[in-house]
Amino acid sequence: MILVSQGGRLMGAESADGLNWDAAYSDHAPRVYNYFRFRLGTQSDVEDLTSRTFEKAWRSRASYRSERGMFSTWLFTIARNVVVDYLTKQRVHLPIEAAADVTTEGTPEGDAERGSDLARLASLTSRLSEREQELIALKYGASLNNRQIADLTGLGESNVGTILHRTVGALRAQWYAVEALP
Amino acid sequence: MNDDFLHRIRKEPRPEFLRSLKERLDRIEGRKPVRIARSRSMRTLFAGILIGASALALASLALKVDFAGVRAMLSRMIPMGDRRNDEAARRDGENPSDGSNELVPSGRTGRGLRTPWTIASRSGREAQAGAARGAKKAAGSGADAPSGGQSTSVASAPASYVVGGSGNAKTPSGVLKILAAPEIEPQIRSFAERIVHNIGPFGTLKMPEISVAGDDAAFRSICGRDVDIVGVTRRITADEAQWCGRPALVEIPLGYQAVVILRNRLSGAPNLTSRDLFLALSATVPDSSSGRVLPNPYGAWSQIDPGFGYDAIQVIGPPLRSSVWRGFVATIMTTGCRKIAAIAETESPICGLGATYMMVREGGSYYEEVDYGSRSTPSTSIPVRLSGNPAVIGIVGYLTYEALSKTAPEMQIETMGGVVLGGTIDGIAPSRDALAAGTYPGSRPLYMYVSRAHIQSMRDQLEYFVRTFSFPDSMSNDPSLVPLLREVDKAARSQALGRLSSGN
Repeated sequence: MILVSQGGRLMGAESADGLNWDAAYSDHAPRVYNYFRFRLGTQSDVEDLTSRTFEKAWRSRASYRSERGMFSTWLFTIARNVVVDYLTKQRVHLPIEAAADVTTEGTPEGDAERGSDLARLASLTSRLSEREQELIALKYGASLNNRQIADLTGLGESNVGTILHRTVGALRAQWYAVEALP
Repeated sequence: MNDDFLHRIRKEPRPEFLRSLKERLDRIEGRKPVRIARSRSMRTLFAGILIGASALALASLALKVDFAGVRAMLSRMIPMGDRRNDEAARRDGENPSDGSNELVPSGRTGRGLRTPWTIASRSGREAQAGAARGAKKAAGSGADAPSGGQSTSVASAPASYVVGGSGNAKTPSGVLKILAAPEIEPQIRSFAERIVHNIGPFGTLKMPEISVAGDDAAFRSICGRDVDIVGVTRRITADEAQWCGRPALVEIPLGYQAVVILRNRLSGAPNLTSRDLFLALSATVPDSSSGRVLPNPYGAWSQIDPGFGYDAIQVIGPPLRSSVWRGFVATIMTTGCRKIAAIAETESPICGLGATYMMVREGGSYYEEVDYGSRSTPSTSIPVRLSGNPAVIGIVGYLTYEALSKTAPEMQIETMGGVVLGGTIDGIAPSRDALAAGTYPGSRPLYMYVSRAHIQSMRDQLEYFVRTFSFPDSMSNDPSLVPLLREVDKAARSQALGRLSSGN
């Protein structure tokens, strides 16, 4: 059901395609936010890219058709385009140095630890291929399942699982190897 | 899989950020006019469906109770046969699908395209006789006689669009059987699922049986009367047409599949031959002296042609499982393979998808890019990577290339990160004219062939499916599939459809 205000804006919680856009925002905003964190390996510009993604999506929400695919697939297609545009402008694919530039919120200790982990992850993922970095970001940042990732990337679902298994194994080995250092 | 260390990195966004973003989103207006237009069209469609369903129910009731007044009225609206003849035919078992007032595929009246899910008003015998009369009338009236509601005439259809011959048709199952190449199968399946979903509940339409097959197998199956429709990536050969007999198939052009190579403007447009690309990307190449199959030894373009410079061979393109890559192999790689003298001298078919020389090499020369574009959205990743490395060659679908082209004649493609250029293959630049003329080596035509073996019993299903099928399917994202370009091809398609309608 569409409720139209005097300004002509879509207001209702549920649109003609049956999607509750308010709920969709609540559910997906943290996922898009973390997708960008994993993808960039830094905290800077993450909020800006998240805003850009949702603003693009909201402007073209009339084009969303639930029968064509899941909302998350549609939204993350936009998010992936946003990040590609961003990287194109920045010409920065390995923002490891920027990882130290963390805007701290919450408890200073927790954020410091998370910021540190993010920087560590960025340094490890910088050795991965673009595809592997993307899959890691979609899986652990966006919290998508392998089927959704397959729909987004054009890879087979089993292929996604295989690549992720291999990549996470390699990352884990390096992650704990670093922790084991004196 | 222990991946806790990755989950720990997640972090919730700041609440004030989420709040302010939500406030901004609430101020954004959706594209309401589009939605309104669509909802109106949906309402119209729904109303149409309701009216149609009511008419069918009324007709069904009238036939059941033989209510003379209503039946007479319906007779004026819908061509109806004599019910006694229907029953006689049912007793004779002439048409297993006939026999009641249920919705079954019916014969063509020659008054325009009907869906195959209209009421069965005549016996199978009458329907066939009616179809034959309609066909005879259409043929007899020559160029002025519209066929199947189309402006094209049967008499004017070119003979080349009917191939093959009649034979002992295997008994139709009432379900369309379709075989298609991997490039075409998703298009057909998507379309079939949609029409079954939309129309099926109102009739007896069943989901066609759709399978993937290579072109050779597809032609064998349709000529053997095993399937009703095939979607193929080449035209039928003279030998196959002869084997089919005459006239068994109707040929309907669908469009093209085409791929384009790109490179950073700094290095100039890549003007390569199909032989160059084959030698650069094939996992194995023949030894020029012994003819033995060797692992690909070429690491730099200069090893293939001294005029190319010393850049390492680096190509970025679609994933190896994608339709675009298959198109690249089937066109450019296969052509290049056949140009190698040592290969051309052998008699075994070693050039082609899955053949000896068609495996892409490993070791870093070819990079798969998951974001290789779609029909509506050009790839941004491939141009970006090309703009960052002038030595890399990119492979994209034709529609991606066209969408990126700022000015097509100069083949300029501007992206946010830089400028790349489309290149020639064997001296031919990609263009719609070159695709239509069949001169561009990176393209191939796509066809649909319709069997006439079951034409009498399944005409309406066949015709409705083929006539309404649009290529590429609107849901398709394959950027290498190009619809028919020339008016002459569109006219040929219309004529072929007219011939299918007429039954000739």
